[in-house]
Amino acid sequence: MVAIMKVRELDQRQIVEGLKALDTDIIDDFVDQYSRPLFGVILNYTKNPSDAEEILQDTLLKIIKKIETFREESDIWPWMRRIAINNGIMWLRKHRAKQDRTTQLEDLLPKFSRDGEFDSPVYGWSVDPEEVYLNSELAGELYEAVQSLPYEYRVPLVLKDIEGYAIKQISSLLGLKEPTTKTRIHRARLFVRERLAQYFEGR
Amino acid sequence: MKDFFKCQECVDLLTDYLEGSLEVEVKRRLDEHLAGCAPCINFVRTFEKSQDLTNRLREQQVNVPREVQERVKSFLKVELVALSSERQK
Ligand SMILES: [Zn+2]
Repeated sequence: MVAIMKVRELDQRQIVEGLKALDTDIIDDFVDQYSRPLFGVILNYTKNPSDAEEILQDTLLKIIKKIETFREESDIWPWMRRIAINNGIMWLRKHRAKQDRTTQLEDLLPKFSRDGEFDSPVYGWSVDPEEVYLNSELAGELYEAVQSLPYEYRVPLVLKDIEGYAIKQISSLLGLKEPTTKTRIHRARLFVRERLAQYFEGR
Repeated sequence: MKDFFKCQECVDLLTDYLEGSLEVEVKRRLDEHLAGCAPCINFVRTFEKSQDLTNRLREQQVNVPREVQERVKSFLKVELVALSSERQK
């Protein structure tokens, strides 16, 4: 299924010099090399493939335009990743209205009886985190769970639990108060846990 | 005056609990509840596990359709022409 297109692997120095010189051959190889990881990052902000394509184009162009500001002693991938994240967030701010609101978060939060006890039994899972790599079904399930969150919950969760940003940083990026950011992350985590629980209990 | 936490309160406080930001007294009461509640213990463990797994999505890569890559390349070629003529000014 995976088409192995053996492309020339560029090293960081080649990339930086090639982008600075606007070398079209290097830029083509650079696109081959970085489209996949960048696209993965971008799809956390929009699920629509044509929007993601637009953000990818814009991200690559920004990387080329900003390459002069890149500090060469640091690693280029986190720098490119940040540009993609910022572009994703900017896109969301512009297109908020377009976002879907199909998932009801409440349907997948834990349920409690009137006296505050769990409505249904809570089971443990036997899972090794490596399974996400080994077992593409689990990785797919998890990816779907995150993707199905409404964006106002998905984006804070992605920034915290996938990108590892601090609450403060997330709040200022998204224009939210810190307690709001925390609440959304918490509820998003509950939702993802519940989806995984259904998966583990059903398999 | 309520002395005991219910499962629901534990679940509500879980993110704060795991990052260690609860007040001492609240944390003590939550620990007390956890010590005697099997469902909550399972919940805490699976909640943490779920977070670990989510973190693994960091390296998730998706396939970029060939035609998307080609379109991106042609888009960049056009932009580069504009960019280099700008720079020559
Ligand atoms: Zn309990």
